[in-house]
Amino acid sequence: MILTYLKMFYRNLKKQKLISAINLFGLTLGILSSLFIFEYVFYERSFDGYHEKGSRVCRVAYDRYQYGKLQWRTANSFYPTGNWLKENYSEVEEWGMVIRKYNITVGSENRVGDKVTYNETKTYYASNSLLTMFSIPIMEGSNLCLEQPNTVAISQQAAIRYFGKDRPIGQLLTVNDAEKYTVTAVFQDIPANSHLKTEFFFSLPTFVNARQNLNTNWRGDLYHTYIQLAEGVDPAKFCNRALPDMIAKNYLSALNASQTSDEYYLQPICDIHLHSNIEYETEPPGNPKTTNILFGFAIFLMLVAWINYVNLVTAQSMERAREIGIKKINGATRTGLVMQFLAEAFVFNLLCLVVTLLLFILINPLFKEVTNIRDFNLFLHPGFIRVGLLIFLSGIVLSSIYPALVLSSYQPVTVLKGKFKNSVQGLLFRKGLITIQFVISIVLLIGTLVTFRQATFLMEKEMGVDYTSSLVVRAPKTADDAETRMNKLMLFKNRVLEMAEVKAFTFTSDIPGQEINNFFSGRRKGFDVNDNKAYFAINVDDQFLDFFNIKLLAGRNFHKNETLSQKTVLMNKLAMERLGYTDPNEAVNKIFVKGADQDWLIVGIVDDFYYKSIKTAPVPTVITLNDGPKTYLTMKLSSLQPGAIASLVPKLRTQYATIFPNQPFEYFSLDERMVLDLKPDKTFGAVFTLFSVLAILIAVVGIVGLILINISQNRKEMGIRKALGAEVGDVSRLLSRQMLVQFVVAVFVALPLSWYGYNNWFLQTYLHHIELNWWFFLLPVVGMSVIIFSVIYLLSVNLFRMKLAEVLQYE
Amino acid sequence: MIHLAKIDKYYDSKFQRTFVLKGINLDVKEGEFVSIMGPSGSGKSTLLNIIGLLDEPSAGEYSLYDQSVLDLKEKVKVEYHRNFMGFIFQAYHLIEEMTVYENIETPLIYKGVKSKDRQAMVADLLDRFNMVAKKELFPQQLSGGQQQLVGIARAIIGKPKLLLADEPTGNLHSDQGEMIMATLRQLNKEGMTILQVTHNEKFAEYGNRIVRLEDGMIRKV
Repeated sequence: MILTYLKMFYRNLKKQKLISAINLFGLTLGILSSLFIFEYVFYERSFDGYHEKGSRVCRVAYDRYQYGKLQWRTANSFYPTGNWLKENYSEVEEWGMVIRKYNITVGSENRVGDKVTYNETKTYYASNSLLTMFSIPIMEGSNLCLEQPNTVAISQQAAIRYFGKDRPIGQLLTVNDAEKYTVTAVFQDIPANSHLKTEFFFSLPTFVNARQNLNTNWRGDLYHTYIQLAEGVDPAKFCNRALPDMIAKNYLSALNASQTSDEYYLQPICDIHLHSNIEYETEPPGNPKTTNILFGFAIFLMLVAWINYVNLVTAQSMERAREIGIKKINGATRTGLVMQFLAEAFVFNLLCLVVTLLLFILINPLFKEVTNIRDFNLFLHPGFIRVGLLIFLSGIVLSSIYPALVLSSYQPVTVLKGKFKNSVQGLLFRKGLITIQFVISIVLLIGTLVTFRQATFLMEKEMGVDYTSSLVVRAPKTADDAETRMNKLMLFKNRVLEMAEVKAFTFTSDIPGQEINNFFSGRRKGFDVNDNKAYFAINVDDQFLDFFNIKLLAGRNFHKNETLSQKTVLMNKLAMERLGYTDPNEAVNKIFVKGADQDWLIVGIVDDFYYKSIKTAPVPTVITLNDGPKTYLTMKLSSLQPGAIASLVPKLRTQYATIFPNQPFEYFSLDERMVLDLKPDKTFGAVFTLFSVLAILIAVVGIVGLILINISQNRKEMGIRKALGAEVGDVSRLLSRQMLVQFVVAVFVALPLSWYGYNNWFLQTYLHHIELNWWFFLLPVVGMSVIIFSVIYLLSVNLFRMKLAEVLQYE
Repeated sequence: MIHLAKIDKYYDSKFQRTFVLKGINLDVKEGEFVSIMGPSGSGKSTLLNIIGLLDEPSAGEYSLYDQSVLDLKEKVKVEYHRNFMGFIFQAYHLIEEMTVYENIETPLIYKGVKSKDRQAMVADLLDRFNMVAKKELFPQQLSGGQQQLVGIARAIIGKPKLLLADEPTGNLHSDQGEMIMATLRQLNKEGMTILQVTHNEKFAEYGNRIVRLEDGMIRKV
């Protein structure tokens, strides 16, 4: 029986080659694009899912309020937090901690005495317990590798980078040419889909031993604390009970004194990537909205593809009606027929699935490269296995059941008499499905315009900081004393300024394109210490304002020979407002008290600037001079030619190597950084466009199929019309009329839907966003109608090539 | 075997009722070969469809072996189609995507006959109708007469007691028509009850009784 079904299925496919091909193409394209979207979405959702105790391990984060107003939300907490919780609450099985140790230079010496040094961006001090809490496998060395001071656990990659084939355990690593660490363990590389990616864990005792009174310090929140809860403990409930208790027993009085309050929350680590976007995240957070939108996209695409399938199959039912009638007369039951059509649909879907999988395997490496997906296999992800398969299966079943029911319901006597016509409900249903396809296509087309305009808008928006043509070199981390180091840096600066390619140079603690790392508290002179508020701080030189073209609103810039000891500061408008001034001229020459009692003179107010990103609001920032350690050396190129950087870099490298021997030379262009910052938005726009085009393609292909079927069923009618003198235009008008109503209905549904959705859902996620314009709506509608109606016209032209004699003779 | 009493078939439109069949009384005994004749639109095919359980009368009684077969459930009808009756059509109604062999085999599959038995039964029939060489061909590769032979083979393979033929020779030229009628007569001799609808007086004579329909009523028995 099954074999017969399969044979019939194959012959039907062969008989309707074009329609089958259209169906196969549409369904394959739909499933394939959905698979890729699923891969991206589930990758984003897979973060930290590999931890064995994942759901029980939480990060402790808190919000600080002053006078009831939110001051900050931070992923950091206080040093004693984890330990206090474990000692006082049995629900806490274990606690662990990491402390940032960013932007260091690590060196090692191999057996022949060659020095290997690299700049390492993200490293951490970590407690030994963290390794077990995070299920990080130790490949070599001790499980207690971080118990002793001056020890370090490194990743497999780092082990190869620093020691090649040598055994890393017991080897020495130097940090910034000064600190020495013994390698005690090599851990398995941390997967890319982790919120804490690093290749170095320095032992926590190293950090602790160098400091005092950490166990009672409830002021400095430099620490990422993780706790592991016992089985069955609800993080939220536990948090509400334990954390207020912790505050009450340890630092409530200090909070009360400054009219502040803290609100803690526990973040399960698997939720951090997508659901936490607060200060001091260890990795850039993901965007749950984008992933949700994409997920919806995947469903849309499949919906469009399956709608095609249903439409084409039911439209073809005329051709199959006779077969069904005969089978019924020969004793086929309705159930049997339903089973046959279900089996056919299943086999067809399976065929599409196989083709899709082959294509997926072929294209996937490229896709992963573009989207930067690593250490992830879609088919092993439990979320995909649950949700993805459910969607596929229900899609297959739903898209099969309707045609099967329709086909099997035909009454043999009507069918065999040739009086058979598609039922009114059936036609309405198909028209409804086409309308849905049109709606989806128009909504997506509008989305394409919106996302693209938004990305361009962000690129064009002025940041208040001119970062163009700027090249940044990371300052060396050497063991030199401050004076020697300063002299060397000045020497480097002078050498660089002698180069024809460079027209300006500045030293800064922070550069545009990343979060400002330093902050302190301060107040207006004459106010109480309890009025202290937090300010971000950048340390710069006298060139800073000119270099980045930051606008001075009142007062003056730093003088050329002004030094830190003169205690003068600049600040931006936001900082000025935080101090309580409204007029820049009023704030100039006033005193800013930093910390407890340091008086600083405000010499100038500058306009607000976006430092981190155009997508992140400007922050209240105080700008001070710095003659201490420098972090970044930034130079402005005199020429905007594309080759300028290429010709400059070798010269810089030579100078750098001469002045700072054995220090890694690392540079990047700020322009590229900024482009990188907006890359996700551009990528999202591109992805949106790609999938919109695909959805429209699938829909158009489906419509073509439907019209082809329609034509083949009414070939004779068309022939008679031609014989009676109809022209291409008449026939194409006739065919168009069938689509027109659906299209108009779709437009009326799609326009308000898009307006509401994109306005309230998408654009609101941006700090600065475009306003929706009428042509965002008009263009897609015009575009879609042009596509659909020209397709219909082309099909009519093709139809008119028929030989009348054949068509009209055919019975 | 077949008992029809006061069978009406009509369609109601807004202001009037149109009768296709009116007051049909007909009895057919087992082993009879009845030809139903009449002009176009006289209700021949409708009558045959009612007898074949493909259509239902608007009024009247219909029983097979003294058992009423009105308002049967779908499942019971399927059973009748599987085990009791076979159909032959003017337009053959073969499934184009199936070979001769597969077309003939179809009813057996629905009857649940085992594959080996099916092979044997189909082979027998192919042999009987001299079509062994054509078993792998598709319907469109056969002549009209040959297609109708396949249609007959398919109709009788399940050994039905009643064979209903709706203008079996309507699409054929006379030589092929003769051959088909000879086959039907042979089947009748072997004991099969046959009801055929035809326009052709000569072919109607193959039956042992002629029923004439006119405007939905039986004119002369």
